[in-house]
Amino acid sequence: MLASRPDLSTDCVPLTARHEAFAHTTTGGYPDEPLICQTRKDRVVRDGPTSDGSVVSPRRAKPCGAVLAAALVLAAPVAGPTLDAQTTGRIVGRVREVGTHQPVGSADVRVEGLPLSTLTSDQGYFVLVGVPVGIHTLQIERLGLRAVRLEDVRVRAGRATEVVIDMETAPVQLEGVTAEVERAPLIEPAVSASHETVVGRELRELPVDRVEEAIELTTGVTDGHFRGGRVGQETYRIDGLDIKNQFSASTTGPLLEISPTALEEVDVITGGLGAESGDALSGVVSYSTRRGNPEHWEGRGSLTTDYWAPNDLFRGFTGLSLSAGGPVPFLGSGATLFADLLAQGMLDADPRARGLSCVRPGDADPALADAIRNLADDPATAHLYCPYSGPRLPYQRGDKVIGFLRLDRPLGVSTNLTLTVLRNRHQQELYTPEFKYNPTYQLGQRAKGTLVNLLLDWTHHRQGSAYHITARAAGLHLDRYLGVVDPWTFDARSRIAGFGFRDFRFLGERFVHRPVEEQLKSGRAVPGYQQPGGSTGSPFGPAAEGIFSTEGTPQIANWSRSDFIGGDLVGELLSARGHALRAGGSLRLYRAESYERTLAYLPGSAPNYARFYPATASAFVDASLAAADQVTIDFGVRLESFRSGLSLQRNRANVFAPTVTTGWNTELLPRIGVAVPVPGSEDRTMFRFNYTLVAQPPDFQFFLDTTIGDSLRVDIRRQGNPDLTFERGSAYELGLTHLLSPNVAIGGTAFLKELTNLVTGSLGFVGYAQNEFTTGDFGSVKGLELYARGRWPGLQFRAGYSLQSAKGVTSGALDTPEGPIVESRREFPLAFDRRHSADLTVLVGRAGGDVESPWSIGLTSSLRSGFPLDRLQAAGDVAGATTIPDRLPWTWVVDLRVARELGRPPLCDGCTWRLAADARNLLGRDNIVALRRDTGRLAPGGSDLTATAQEIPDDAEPIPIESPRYSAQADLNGDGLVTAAELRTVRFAAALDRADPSLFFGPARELRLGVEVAF
Amino acid sequence: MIRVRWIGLLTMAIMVFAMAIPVACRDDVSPFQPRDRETDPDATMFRLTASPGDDRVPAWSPAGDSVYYTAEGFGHLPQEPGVLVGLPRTGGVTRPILHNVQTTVLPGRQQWYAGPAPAPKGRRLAFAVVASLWPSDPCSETAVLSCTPSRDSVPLPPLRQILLRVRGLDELGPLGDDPAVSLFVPGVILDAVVIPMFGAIPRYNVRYHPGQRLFADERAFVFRASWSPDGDRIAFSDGENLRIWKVGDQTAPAVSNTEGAIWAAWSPDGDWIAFTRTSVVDSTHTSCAYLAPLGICAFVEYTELDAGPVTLTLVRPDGSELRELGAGWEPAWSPDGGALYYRDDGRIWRIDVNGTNSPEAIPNTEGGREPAVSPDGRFLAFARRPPGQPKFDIWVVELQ
Repeated sequence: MLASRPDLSTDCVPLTARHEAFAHTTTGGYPDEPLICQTRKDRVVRDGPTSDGSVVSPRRAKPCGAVLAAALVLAAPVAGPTLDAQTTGRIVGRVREVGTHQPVGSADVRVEGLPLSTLTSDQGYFVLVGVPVGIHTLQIERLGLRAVRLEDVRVRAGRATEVVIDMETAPVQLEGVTAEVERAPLIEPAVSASHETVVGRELRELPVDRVEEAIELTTGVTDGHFRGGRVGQETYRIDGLDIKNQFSASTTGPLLEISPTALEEVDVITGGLGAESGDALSGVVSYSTRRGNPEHWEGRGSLTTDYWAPNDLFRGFTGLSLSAGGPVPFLGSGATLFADLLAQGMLDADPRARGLSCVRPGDADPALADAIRNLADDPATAHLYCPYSGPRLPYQRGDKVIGFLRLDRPLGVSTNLTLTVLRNRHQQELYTPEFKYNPTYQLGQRAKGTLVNLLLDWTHHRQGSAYHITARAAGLHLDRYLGVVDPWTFDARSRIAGFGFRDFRFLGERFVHRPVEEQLKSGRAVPGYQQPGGSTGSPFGPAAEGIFSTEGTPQIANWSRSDFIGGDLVGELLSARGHALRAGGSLRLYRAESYERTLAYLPGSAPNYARFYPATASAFVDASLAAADQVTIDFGVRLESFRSGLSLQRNRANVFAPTVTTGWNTELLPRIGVAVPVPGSEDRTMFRFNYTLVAQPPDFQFFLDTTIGDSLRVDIRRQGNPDLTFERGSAYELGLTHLLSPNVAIGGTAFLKELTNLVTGSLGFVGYAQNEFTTGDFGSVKGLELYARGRWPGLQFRAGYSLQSAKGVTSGALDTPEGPIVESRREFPLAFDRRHSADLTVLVGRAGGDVESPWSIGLTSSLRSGFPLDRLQAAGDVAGATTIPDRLPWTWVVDLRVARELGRPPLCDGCTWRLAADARNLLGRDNIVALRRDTGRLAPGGSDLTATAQEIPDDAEPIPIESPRYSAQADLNGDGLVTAAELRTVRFAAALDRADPSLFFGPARELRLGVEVAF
Repeated sequence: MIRVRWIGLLTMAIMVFAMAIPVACRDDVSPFQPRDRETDPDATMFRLTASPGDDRVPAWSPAGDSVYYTAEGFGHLPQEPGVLVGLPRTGGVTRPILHNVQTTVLPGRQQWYAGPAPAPKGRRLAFAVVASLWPSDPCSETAVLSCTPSRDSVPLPPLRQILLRVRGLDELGPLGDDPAVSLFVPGVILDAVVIPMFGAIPRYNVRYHPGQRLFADERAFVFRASWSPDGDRIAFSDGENLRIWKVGDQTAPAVSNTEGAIWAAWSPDGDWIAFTRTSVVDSTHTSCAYLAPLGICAFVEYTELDAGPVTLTLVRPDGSELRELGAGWEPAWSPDGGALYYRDDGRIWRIDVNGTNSPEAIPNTEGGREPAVSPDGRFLAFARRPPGQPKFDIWVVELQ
């Protein structure tokens, strides 16, 4: 079966087929032809003993035709379990004799540098499991045959890399031959899932600061929505461990972040989720971390900053990245350590295209545009128009630090222990227009996370088969705080280029962490909080009262903590022929704590507080059968359970109402996937089909009463419901992949996703309290994804286009439905229904795999249609002329990173260094990402502003110069008295300024320079 | 080898940071700089207040950096007819001078504090508390006034009683613990006429003198206090005579030879008290009765004194050695005691006490009154009524 697999990814191309659409292989069923293997002149094979004791001297790979011994690396996954949550991968293959193609049995196949080896079966097949993700070298030896050393075999998490090795008969001991390959497959015949993989090398060359930015380049993923799903319907896995923020993923995201430089690869699965991933409704992001080089220490450091840039391009970004890994012999033979540190300081943590901006005449309707011009042109009022603007937003300072440590230690020939520790802290101010003239108090947020993962990996290899058991124990702690930043944070805390070593402090943080009973007993306001208000300090003086808060503090104090300890046990049985059986179970015990006080300045106001102990448990079985004719059938079933750990009294108004005790919720979730070549296509065209039933526990936060969280709005309250059931979904997917040429593959996927039992707090149901969270929402997503992959020496590209339609009753648990649909339960386009999106990634030079090139270029571009501005209109439900667009405009972003190798830096013989320029939003497009729903523009309606101005009555008491409310900027005639007429004029300007559209724009243009040193 | 690498790396890191440090000087986004109150350091004239209410009787803080005055309450101030407030010399927000006063308002009661006078020593402040005023009309509106000779109205002079208080500027205790002296302001004597069948009918014996008239017409705080240099005594006018109160005493004896004296100002050397002497050129008397539907409501014996010219006068604290300096109102001493600032002819003037020079008009004081000279003699605070406006504001000019 393996022999019939096409060469889909190797650089070894038959001479006669180089201009043909398909590269035949040397395996059975295809003509034997001399191969040209890519040679990498700069790569020197390091000295090391061969299996026969001889030494392979430094040399370069030779043309295959010249050495007769062909090493063919397909580097394409073979049949095996679906993309699962593993930290290791597999190498499967077959060893044959050159010419006769007779199988070579009992050949020793081992992974260089690792205690992994096996023997080929009588048919020449072998499988190596538990191979760490990354690039490895295989050694194949058998008495009487010339040894083969196969370099640059890339192994991916949870997948199999196939190799076919032809060995040459050698009656006497001869020096072995070396071949190499490092390529990701253009198409994957045996994989039924939809996924995209970004390897670590690419991550380091792409113009991204966060891994999430690379994930966004995946076809079908935009703004954190995976194939039109809500945020939080995806899960994140680090080395196979599910680290989803189960408490508040839908509102705060995963909270735990990992540095791009700590990753070996990122795999984004958007469809065909395996049984092991059946708790994710919309997608899975799987991170595989790097491990230390077992042979020697290597590392790198980089410093990137835009502090040198002119003011218009200066955003205040500085990033320092350090990583190193290598052997730690004192911990045992083969033990390795890898450490990574990322620190970023930001003066504007969320720079927007227009910076700190204001409404321009072109943003408004004609009447308001005239009013703006009058305001700006009149010398007496000119100072009131756009009084505070600049290329950066104020009060968005922040910093981030991510530390990662991985220790690998073999415990024997077949057992490996891995300890990973990930700790991060992300903290920043949150710019709010209401407080932009408040120099002292701003809202801020700090998220801290710590993950400890201990993994025991046991492998056992037999001839033609292998067993693999993974046991994992993990602990995760997530700590999030949202509140008023203590002025100490920026007045006295030491910072370097925006980065502070110490945590943000928040007003009253100690107080709100005290037992709630104590807080209630004290009856105090949260210390430091003050009622927001103020008359002066803004450019509009007393006219801005109630519009801007120049004094006092934001009102909210909110924190949550979520911890879990858990364990996974997964076992798999694999055969070299492609069959696989995988089964496992997992248990998570959580401790969740949530606190929210929305009027924290008010003595006696009570917080919402809860501490509870939910739990989740799951078990799965996943099987993959490699049937005849390249057909791969995956099927599995998952048992998913959770409990809230809370009881509830649904009728809060009646203290005698019965208490409902919640128990375990359980779901059984089948899954089937098929991958099959299209007959007659010579395996160049593959067909995929998937059906998946998925269910995920709702965010634990919905078990609790809540208000709108990360916002100053406190008017939306919801009653918690610990008796929520699973959010469920089913997905169908049809995919087609076609290899156009050895360098280009194209594909398409059509999918339909039905989501039911989604959490909502806005739909009423009999038997439930008003505004109680239920799982009564539903929606559906259908779409078509097209993509292309291309690869040439020194050039790679990935392009994808997604057309989708996402509909639902509400867009999120805290959203309100559009129109009178509480009764009708009608589906409308979701607020995040991105109809069209296209992404392009181009890697050139060293980034594209040409290690000889001194240049490395990474370019990404995203073209996207806008979200619905009005769901009813987007659905075509509004008859007649409307004054607002139904959707936001298209956006287009181009990012570019260019690096130039500079060779050896002074004073460090073993080092290399290079300079890099990193440009974001290279075209400088504004990219409007929001509009006002009332006007369909960036500006509010002129009548609204006038109405705000008219709130000043005619008999308003004039404000004299000696009043604390007096402002010279509102005293338009300078007579020391601010009259009612002046107040009205100035209040109009204040309302206009409050309509600050800065956050309506996409990312700003940035230009950074960096230096990177590697050793 | 490894050591060399690390040294090289360290050197590189130092180089990178050395390059980064200069550019790292760029700072956070600057917060908005409001221009709510702008002060021109070169200015020689400051308008401190613009309240539509009346701002009167300025005085200087002991340090000379602030101006105290009496404000008609507005906005953030207690809504009282007189509030003791202060603000920086160059302008700023008016704040109450004293703590724990005028914090509660009883129904029907006013707390009218006026004439702040900081003591020359220590952090004390003398001020007058204006008690409830006489009603202008003792009977209801339905009562008919009948006078002989005929007269349309016989409004009562407003001032009834004044309490002179001294309070520490930092004092937080109750107001009743502060030293104070009370006196009834001449103008109205209330007695009764017993008429058979009707019983006792109140009779207001009114003597409407110029001091009362100035308060009624212009809200002139003629009774403002002036400290002796030693800080032990206070001179003030009851509207008709100067009085000296030894702080803490129960009474404040009148100073002889000071009939018609208002606006007392104790000289810095303590030898003189300057004041404005009013004069009476004529008087009229009217006997009136208020006739209500059920009978006579009140009798009013009404004597009105017509004011004549005023004279700027000096007198020794014991009432001896009167010296007249010419026409002038509201005298204020220069810090060296060599000159008096006063109001005359609608502006502020300066006159040498020894009479060596003729009076000198102070620039930029047109419409000004109630002058007060800063302790260092550089500035003059005064009340000014803007053209066409009914109420006064506080201004400061720099003296040449």
